[in-house]
Amino acid sequence: MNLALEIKDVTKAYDSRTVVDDVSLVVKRGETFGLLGPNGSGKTTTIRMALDIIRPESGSVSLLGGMPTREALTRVGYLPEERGLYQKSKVIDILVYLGRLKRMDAATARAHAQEMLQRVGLYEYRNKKVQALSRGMTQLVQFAGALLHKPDLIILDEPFAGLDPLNVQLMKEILREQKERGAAIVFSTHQMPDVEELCERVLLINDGQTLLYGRLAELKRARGMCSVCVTADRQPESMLGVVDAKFRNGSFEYLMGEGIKPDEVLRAYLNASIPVERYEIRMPSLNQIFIEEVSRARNAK
Amino acid sequence: MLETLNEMRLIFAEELRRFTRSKGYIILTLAVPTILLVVMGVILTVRAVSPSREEPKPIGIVALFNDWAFAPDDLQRFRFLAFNTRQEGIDALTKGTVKEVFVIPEDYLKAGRVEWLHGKGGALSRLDPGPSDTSSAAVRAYLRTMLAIEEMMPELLARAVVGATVESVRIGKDGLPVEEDANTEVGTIVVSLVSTLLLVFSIMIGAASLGEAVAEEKENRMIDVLLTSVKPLSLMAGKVLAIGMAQLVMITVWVGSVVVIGPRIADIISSAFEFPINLGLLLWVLAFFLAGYFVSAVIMAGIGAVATKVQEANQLAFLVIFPLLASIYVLGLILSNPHGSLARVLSFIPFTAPSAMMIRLAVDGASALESLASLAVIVLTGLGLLWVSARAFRASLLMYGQRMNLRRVIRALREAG
Repeated sequence: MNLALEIKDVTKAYDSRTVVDDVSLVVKRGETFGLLGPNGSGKTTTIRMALDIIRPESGSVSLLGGMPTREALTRVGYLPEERGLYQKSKVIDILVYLGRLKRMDAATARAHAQEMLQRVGLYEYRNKKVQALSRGMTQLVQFAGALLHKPDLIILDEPFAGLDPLNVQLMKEILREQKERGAAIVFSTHQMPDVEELCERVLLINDGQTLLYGRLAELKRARGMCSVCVTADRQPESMLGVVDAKFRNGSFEYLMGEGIKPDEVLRAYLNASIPVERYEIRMPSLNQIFIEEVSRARNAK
Repeated sequence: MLETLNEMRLIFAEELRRFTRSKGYIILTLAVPTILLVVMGVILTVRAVSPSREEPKPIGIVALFNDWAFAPDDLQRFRFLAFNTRQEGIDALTKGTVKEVFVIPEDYLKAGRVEWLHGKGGALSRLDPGPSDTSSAAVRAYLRTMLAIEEMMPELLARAVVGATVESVRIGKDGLPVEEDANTEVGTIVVSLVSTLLLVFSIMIGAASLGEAVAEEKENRMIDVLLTSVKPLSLMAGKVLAIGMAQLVMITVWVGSVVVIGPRIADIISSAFEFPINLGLLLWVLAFFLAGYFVSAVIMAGIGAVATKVQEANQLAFLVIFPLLASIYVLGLILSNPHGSLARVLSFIPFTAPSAMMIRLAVDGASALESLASLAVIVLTGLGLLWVSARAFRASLLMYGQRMNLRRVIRALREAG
């Protein structure tokens, strides 16, 4: 299989605390993959093991079809969670330096840096020192630095944290372009709407352990429980199989019990001769799944 | 290997660019020449405005060629004082009646050489050995005038056109010539002490900023980005060499400005410098200076690598500075017995060897073989420590988030390869 990243049964412990426990994942080329989990769940440690910055106690990592060698790592673009750039250096100089470190010649690195700066809307700041930029701009510069060598695998740790909605939108557009180019993208976050928008597959970890792993749509379907949204003047007096009902934004929202089909709601409306303006079946949101799964795991301890 | 060198070159270039463009570095580098220029300016200004300025001393002339022991009227503005013999000139110089004496020998017409007797000397005069521009102009004018007065023979005309070369002879306080390459203890000790202090100072600002830079990159996780591109060894070596080069440039500017501006100041003030040094010693001092920087910078980089915060790296910097200072504290003991056991032992401890050897070399207390051996010990230790620093760097990343204990450190060091 054409894999960009394969992590197999990796475990990492600090002191007596296991921070990543037997985690496995596979990221295919051209895929956008979400690494999800609450704060301190082991996402960053997993990424750092994938990049050979730290090594696991057990398990293995395969990067772009082989060992995570220096050669393989030059084909990876990485944006760490903590954003650090040399404050007194010019934006263009830092980007050229990062390009050079990825084995680009100086002229190509400069050309790519200028191209990326234009793409993120910071070309006019190319000769400014990093300390003169806002936090969001610095983040975009670092993002540009992670992509300027056109990597085959892009790993982003909390890429949208601290960015305004416009810049988040811009970053998402650029990521889509990178995906179209054929790059595999892995990003860690706890912003579920971003994941739903961008990712095909996800891994949810909590306390270093895998809670969910697989295709997002399948994970949602597998949950069984879904909600139904009905816009009508009133609602039937009784409805079978509904676990919870809410009236929100002019619509009734019903959370269905396990094994109950959403048609039951529509049937109840028809039986009660209530005209229905709008009827919508909603799959459980990733946010809902995240909260439920993490809460369940925590309660089980 | 080639890949590692290429990585090192990239890190070196970037670090050098960044370090040398920092305001602190530029200010420090230009501090010494600026101070010297200001001092020179102040002296010149004070002299210019001072009402009780002393009359400049006359220039002594001893003409052993023909009968030139007089100064023509049109040259009186130069204030020449003629003597009949060389010894008379030397006596006048020793007494301070004249500031310098030019001896025109009997074979002047053939050889074209003029002897310049003076009281100035030392390292600065060796690097700038000629008489002042005013004196040179005066003597040239004297020679041309005297040649012109003679009957116009072709060889006289040729000599007048070619001019004279000046041979410098420094006269000591006892009236005897002083060998230019002789080391006077005070002079060499001053040079070595200054070098030792420069070493300590350079390490304090260079190596400390190196440790701080490494710790800072760890703190803001820039290091994670760098380590996905280069090996820890390349990163360490590139940084050490770059900041070392920047420090060397700074020291060169300092020494260069002293060499260039110093003699001008010495010319202006009557009490000339008196610290001779020979080129061989200067090279040894430079070699020990570089080796000392290298070993200290590597340790500081290692400290930066294991420290988790910039503040922690700064606090640990004393581990480097203390041994360097230690050899300054025992300077007296080394000076009193440069061949003694203490001096020898300190010369082979890599951290104290640079300053101990500089002091010993100054008082001629170390053989060339011993100096080479000491230098080898320092350099080899530096290379070994560079390797250890790189491993420690990797190990500290492997141990990120863990509490340190010996077992864990050993394990991390083993895995770091």
